[in-house]
Amino acid sequence: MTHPCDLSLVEMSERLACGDLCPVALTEEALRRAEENKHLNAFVTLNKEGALEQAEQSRKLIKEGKMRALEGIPLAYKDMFCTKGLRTTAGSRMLENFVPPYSAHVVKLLEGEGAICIGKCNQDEFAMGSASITGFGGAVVNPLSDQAGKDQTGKDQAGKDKAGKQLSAGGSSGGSAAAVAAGIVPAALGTDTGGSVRQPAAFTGCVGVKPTYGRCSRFGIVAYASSLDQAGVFARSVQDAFAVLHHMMGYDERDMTSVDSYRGEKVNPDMNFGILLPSLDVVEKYPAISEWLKGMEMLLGKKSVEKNMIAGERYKTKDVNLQNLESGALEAYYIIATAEASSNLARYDGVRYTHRSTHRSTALKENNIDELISGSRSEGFGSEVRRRILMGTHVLSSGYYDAIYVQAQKMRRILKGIFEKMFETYDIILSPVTPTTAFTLEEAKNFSPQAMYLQDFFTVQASLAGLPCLSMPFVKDANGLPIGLQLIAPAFQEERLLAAASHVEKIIGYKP
Amino acid sequence: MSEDEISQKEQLARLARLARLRVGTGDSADFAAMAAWFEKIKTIDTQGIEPMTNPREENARLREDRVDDGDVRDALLANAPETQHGFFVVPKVIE
Repeated sequence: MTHPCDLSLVEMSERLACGDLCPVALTEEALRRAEENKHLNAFVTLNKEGALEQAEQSRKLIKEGKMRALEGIPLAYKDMFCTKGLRTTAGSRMLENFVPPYSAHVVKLLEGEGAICIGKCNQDEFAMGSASITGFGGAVVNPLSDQAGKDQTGKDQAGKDKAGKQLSAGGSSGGSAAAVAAGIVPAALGTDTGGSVRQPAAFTGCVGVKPTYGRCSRFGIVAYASSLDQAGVFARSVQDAFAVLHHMMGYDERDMTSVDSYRGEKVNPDMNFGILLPSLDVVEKYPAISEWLKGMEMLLGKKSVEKNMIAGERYKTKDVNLQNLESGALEAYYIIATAEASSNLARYDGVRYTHRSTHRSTALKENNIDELISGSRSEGFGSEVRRRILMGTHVLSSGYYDAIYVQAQKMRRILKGIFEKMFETYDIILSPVTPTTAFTLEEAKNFSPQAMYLQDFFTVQASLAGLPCLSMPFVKDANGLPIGLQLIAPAFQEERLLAAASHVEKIIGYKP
Repeated sequence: MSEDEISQKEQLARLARLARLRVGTGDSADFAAMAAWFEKIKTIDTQGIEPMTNPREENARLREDRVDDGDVRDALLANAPETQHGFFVVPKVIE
């Protein structure tokens, strides 16, 4: 019999409804699995008591016939989501002891549907990173590490370079991805600013969905780059991911960029897929991308792939320069994201709710508030966060503001226009998620900052344009590691994204 | 040290002051590489294009100006590293 934690969310719900499964037992199992998988370092904080209390409440409501949409379903939240009374660190020493006095809007919505929070997931510090190694709690380990480069009997295969090594779960929402991939919870929340849900989903073989900017309220989510941040969902199937996402969307007056309640729109089942590969030399440079292209040919047929390729030379619309998609997007993203981060992270001052320099007594004696603030910030932030704050301060300073920052914002509008143009012809755009499959943790620690930023090569475009997108397991590399497929839909077309992803899932026969 | 390196160091020190951060010796090289990378954005022709600040810039909506919470002083102060009489404690800033 299938272990209850390995069931799909939808099956779990059915079995909870008919009394086959008890929410308390299910929560206990999820917590036990979390303990068993401690080596993955997927959690910063486990919510044992709170989760069991919630489960007890669910048990009562189910018995009374008052079951809500996600009643008794164990979930996990990235540590960017504020949870009332439960420590929320954003992976930073700065917030090591922060206990929020309120919950994020999306957390409240899920709670209101009966979902159970079993814990808070590990991540890169303040969601800045692509490997989940910069958090103060240490690196997240990809649950697929045990299977990589091994044959069916579990032996290391000759020539498989990743056998026996610890792999990265991707970042920044690596802990949430690992918790889902390891079968601890059927779904988990992440945040996606430039690919932080989609890339870890690709690395761990999960589905990861990021809705349109404005679909989910950002209230109570620790801010990194406010014009890009969105909540997202990890799950082991497309259906499960949307089963959670559907309950997170809607207007919240505390986030003025959020939009009205969600209304599913009718979807035309005959969809025209456009394939986006910014330049063909990427295919030659990265083995995972050439595997991806082969997978595309199997999915759509060789002729359709050629016909629907919107890349490079083949795309010749006069006022749209496709080259901008590759040459300017990554820079524009990092310029805008660091600028917004430098502003958002100014609130961490060692005075109100954060780490305070241990040398504070000296600072107090010297009556020097600047020393207190800079001391607290230098101790509380890790090196990647300090780097991004400095870069953001740089692009916002006089002499660079117009030439770099505003220029990046103009680039952003060009990009949005390119997508609008593409969606005149295509219903859904398909692209790779990442240039590589999961790298080892050892490799990750030796990457230069810019080498790490290249992980976002295929994901920042949809983020800058604010579009809904999804990553799903597609084909595999030589080590048997998953290569993801990204689907991008026009703004507010989540239903189309769901229909297209379900269609692809059916064809490739992916089983959760 | 070359003149370039000196000016980079000065620039970094100025940014660190603005951002209330202390920088170490390793930060300088990183900064130079990143700043050079960002310069590449200048080559894109953006003539006549308006900057885009947010994907939802056209439709952002404002809420009614009314009090919907409050009386949460103690809950908010609970996370402060040091408080006294219901206030945050900072070094003396007024002579």
